[in-house]
Amino acid sequence: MSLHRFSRYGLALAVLALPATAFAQGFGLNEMNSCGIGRGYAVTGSPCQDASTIFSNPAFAAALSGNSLVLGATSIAVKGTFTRDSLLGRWQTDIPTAYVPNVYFNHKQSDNLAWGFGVYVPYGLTSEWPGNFPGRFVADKAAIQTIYFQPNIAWKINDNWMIGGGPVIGHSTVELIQSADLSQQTASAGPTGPITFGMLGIAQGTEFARGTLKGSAMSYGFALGVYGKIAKHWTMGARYLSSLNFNYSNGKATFQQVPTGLTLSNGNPLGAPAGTPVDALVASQFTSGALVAQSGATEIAHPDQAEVGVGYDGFDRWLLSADYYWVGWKRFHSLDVQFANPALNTTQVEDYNNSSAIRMGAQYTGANSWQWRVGFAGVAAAAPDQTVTPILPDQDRMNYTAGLGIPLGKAWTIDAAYAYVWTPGRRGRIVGRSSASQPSFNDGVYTLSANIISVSLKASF
Amino acid sequence: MSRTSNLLRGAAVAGLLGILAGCQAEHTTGPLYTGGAMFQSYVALGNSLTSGYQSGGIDDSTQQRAFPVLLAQQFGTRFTYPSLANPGCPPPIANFQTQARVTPPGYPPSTSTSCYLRTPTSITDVLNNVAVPGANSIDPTSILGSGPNPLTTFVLGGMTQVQRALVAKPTFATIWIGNNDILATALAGLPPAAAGITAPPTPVPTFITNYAAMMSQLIAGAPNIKGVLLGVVQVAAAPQLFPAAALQSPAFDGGLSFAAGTAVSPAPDCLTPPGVNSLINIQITGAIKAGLVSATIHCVKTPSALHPLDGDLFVLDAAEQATVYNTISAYNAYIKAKADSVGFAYWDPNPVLAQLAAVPGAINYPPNLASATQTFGTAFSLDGVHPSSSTHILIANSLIDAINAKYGTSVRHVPGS
Repeated sequence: MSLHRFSRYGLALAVLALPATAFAQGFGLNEMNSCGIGRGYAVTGSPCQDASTIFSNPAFAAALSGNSLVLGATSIAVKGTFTRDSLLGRWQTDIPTAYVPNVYFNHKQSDNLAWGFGVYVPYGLTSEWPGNFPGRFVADKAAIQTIYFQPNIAWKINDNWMIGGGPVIGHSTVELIQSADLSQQTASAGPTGPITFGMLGIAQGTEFARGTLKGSAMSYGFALGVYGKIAKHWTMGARYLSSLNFNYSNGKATFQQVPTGLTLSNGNPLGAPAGTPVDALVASQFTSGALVAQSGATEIAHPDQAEVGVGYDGFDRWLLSADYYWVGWKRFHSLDVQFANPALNTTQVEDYNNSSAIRMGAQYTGANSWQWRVGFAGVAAAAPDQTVTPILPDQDRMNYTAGLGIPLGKAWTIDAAYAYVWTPGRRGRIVGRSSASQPSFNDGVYTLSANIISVSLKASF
Repeated sequence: MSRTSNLLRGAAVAGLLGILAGCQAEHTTGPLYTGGAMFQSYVALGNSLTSGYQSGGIDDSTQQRAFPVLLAQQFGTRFTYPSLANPGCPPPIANFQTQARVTPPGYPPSTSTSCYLRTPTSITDVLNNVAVPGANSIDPTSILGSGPNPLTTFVLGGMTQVQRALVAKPTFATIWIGNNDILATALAGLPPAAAGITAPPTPVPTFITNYAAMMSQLIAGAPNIKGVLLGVVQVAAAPQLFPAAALQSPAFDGGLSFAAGTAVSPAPDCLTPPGVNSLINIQITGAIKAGLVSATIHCVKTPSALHPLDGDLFVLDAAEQATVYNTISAYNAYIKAKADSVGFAYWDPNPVLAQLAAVPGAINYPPNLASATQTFGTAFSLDGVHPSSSTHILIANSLIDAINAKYGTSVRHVPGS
């Protein structure tokens, strides 16, 4: 049956009308299921026919039959560079490949009721740079690993509409390794305020210590979804995942002295004998001073997210879908780290903006039931120009995806997907932003790209 | 149109949207560099002349006017300097007659030892102007240096000039070192070492060894570096030294008397050769005040039991002038040869000084003691040794001519000269 002219072109026109950019990623992850990756993550309005819908649209779980089990893993290999202005160098990230798991199970209890659970990773970050990177005073390494456990109930209201949702229990670990800059440290009290080593001539970026903070936290939230058939061949869906605020209050901080190699000259303002190594002046801080092992804490808001989408299956064997995705990144004001010694407390102003994204996907089911998938997602940065930093050099991203679903008999299916994340590069800084009024000091360009490979084993029984 | 064609159009639109989004996203780059690849990272090594020292002091406002800053602007390249917070470290002299130094409202009176440290916002990892006031030929490569100097730490923070310069990954350098190897002792009249007043001039072989080590380390760290080696100024031309003949002016003697706090007059040996050919340092008034020399100024060595340094301290007789001239000429002969051997340009400051001396009011020989702010002329600052801001422009433009001639570049002059 041919489609009405408007409906036939409606999807394309709707896509054209939508802005091409202006949506954000931050430290959010999209790799919740292999089928979804292959379809450009546009699986809220037209979810994958497996238990991974517990994340992409909790309501659609009521449409599945029997038992559905998904076991998946995704490898995320990120590469990045920072090229500093004025020939001052280029550095590449040193990020190990991350492996992100997902597990979903759904049981159709009755015609109307389904229950299940999902374990997935909606937020995560690993940013790691080589030891001589000038931005190491913001972060040598920043790693956030957060996993959500979501029990789920879905209810079929009538033949066309379903709702679903459940509580979310989150567990997160954070690791932050940061070099300490001697030029920023107080050398002595002055008549109008502290006198830093920098004011006495020590260069910015003189690493004299490296601190490591590790911590973990739990938090709680919820997820909701609604799914419906709005017309012949048309479906829509919406989901909401609440914010979870993780308070890593039980962190441990350790510090290691790093040799500066500096020697004080004759007549130096510190009054030390000529030839005194600077390292000798600060060594006691690591044994009995401010930089002994101590407790540390930080708090990171994992923002809420909402997604609404539509699906269309009016073309024989084709499924087209498009989603609009919103993330409440405005919650991410700053990254504050507190220590037992308050003189060490730091603040990194982030000032992220709320964001949204456009996601599009297409799936073709062959005569042999193999499913071929392709998708695209356009995402723009949540970070303002002033806070593109080594922790997260957030920038516009284009995700190009493809996937394949291969049935293995009646009960099993393997889904595989590949995504390439491309960025145009963005100017950023290597100096932390400690207050909102601090001017932008972008002095180089960050680039990022990622290769994502995902595999899932699915069973329906 | 067939269903398949419509499908292809839809897929093409989605694909095109993704492609267009990628094309429209601009690939951001850093600030545009305009002056040529050779000037992409310019460093300046040297002493007070390079650092922007003026009128016996240095602060951010004098540092901004130093010739390396002007050169960098014409090169179109980034240039950072170790800004010293106003009013300075020490604050410059504002009035030659009273020797009062710049003191902003609400500040305690500035002295020659006042220091307001580095400007916090100037603290960078990369420094382009690594010159240190007071540095001599050993200092660019020696952390211990030639003597106590807090400015070494304020500028270099525990590194040598060469080490600090190499952090900037330099492609171009100006190096002006050697003046302090002879300046202080020449201005003091080459007093005997036994008097313990100043160190003697650096012997030429030692100067050569020091200079060679500096160039060797710099080039080892930046093998493709180009630049200019600047010759040593003939310090006898500094307006801090005035001809003995000026002592024949009662008005001038009156000014000296005011500064010395006692009546000053020339001895008869100042009126005839060889004494009349001596150069006298204006600082002799301080020595008179301190009782080191007689208020009757001698222009040839006339030691007495009471004043063993009469005619010696702050007096540069003709023979001593020749010694100073020949020593500096030997320094410059080596510097020029070194420049030629490493492919650098060589710039001799002395013709520029000679031209300035012919400009009315540019250089006052003797100093105009009736003027509190133009004592040594418009070309020199109130210490009679360091160039004024207008002379820094002249220096920069003369260097630009030397650079363009050597390297075939088209750097434009600094406006306002």
